[in-house]
Amino acid sequence: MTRYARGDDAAFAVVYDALAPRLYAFLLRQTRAVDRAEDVLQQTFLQMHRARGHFVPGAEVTPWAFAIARRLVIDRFRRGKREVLASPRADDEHGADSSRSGSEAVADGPRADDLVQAQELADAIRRELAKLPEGQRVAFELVKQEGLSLAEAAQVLGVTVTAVKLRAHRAYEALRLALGERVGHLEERGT
Amino acid sequence: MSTHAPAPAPRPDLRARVLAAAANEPSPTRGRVLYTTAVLLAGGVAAAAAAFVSLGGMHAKGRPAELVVATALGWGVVAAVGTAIAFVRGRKGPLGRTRATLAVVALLSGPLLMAWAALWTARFPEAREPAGTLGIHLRCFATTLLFAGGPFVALGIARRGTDPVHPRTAGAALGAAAGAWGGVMIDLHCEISAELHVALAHVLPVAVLALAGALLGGRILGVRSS
Repeated sequence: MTRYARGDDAAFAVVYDALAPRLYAFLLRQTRAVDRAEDVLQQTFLQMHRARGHFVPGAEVTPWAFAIARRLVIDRFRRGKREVLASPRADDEHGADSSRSGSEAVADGPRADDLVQAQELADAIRRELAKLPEGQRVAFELVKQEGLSLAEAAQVLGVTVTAVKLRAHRAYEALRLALGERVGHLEERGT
Repeated sequence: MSTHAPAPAPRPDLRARVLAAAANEPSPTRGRVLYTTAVLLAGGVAAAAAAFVSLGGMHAKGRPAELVVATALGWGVVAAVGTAIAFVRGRKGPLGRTRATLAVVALLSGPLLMAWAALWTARFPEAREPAGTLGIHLRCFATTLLFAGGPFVALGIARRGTDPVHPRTAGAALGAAAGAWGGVMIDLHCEISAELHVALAHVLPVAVLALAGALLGGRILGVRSS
């Protein structure tokens, strides 16, 4: 990103390749629809392109990209472009893709009932996350699901590392309370 | 089980679309942004200086030099530190400071200025002018806003559309910092050091500009979907 900020246009493809998969996964979780996720992904990269001159050389690009993506999702939601936030039926497209990859995985190893259980647990976690305060939910998603470090998540949310740690922990505890030992194996990153 | 479930990748044609769209839309490089920022800030300072000079510049009448220098220096430090925190993003990245840090700048700049002025005015009771009439308060209030207007606009334009995290809080902090610079200039310009006048006409505009920054921040500084 530093090269791109300084004017090396070819470096944008490298930035895209490095960030797009993680951002796309994040956006799919947030929007629950392939077309909306792709639309916001495109806008995120265009926003990064427009603001490349404001990128501080040597700084981390991941928190910046996630912060832009998150803001664009919120903006779309506020403008009423996202129809449903957490409806289980709203992720048909995502679900279709997940099922497809799940079917492919059956041939390689995991048993079908394991996959079904994993899918049920993922759905349960999603439902419980939707009930949490936004700050806790987003901190949990960024740290546990998107794999950001506590410091990166803190930058995305504009809060301190301690605040992120606390919010993610509270979300984890709420999930554990609701789902019991089913989530007991979720490792607590950075805690 | 981990919640890091494998997710489908974005369609390959999206990559081509994004790169093509970026290629078709020129964007300023780091060097260009630094240059533009420098020009904007210089313009803001020049506008404030022009307003200061055109309204008669410094008036120290009846105030000891020590009082004038001490209050102006103290207010200058508050303005400089506030500007550095609100505007300079540093090595951590383009996302700037935490919301709490920016909120401290927005909320504490005014009280700090008032406390510093009261502290020094108390040491020079003989220099206290009568607080003045409502008309004088209003004139100085407007003058402070005029002095701060250039820096406020310059800081806002320089940060336009670049804050995806907390644009309202950043706007409030930038407004308070610009207001503090206006306060430095009105402190040099206005000979009245009575606490009531300082509070209403020199410090209250800082809070007004912080509020204006908070109201405009989401629209001016925020990242928005197109």
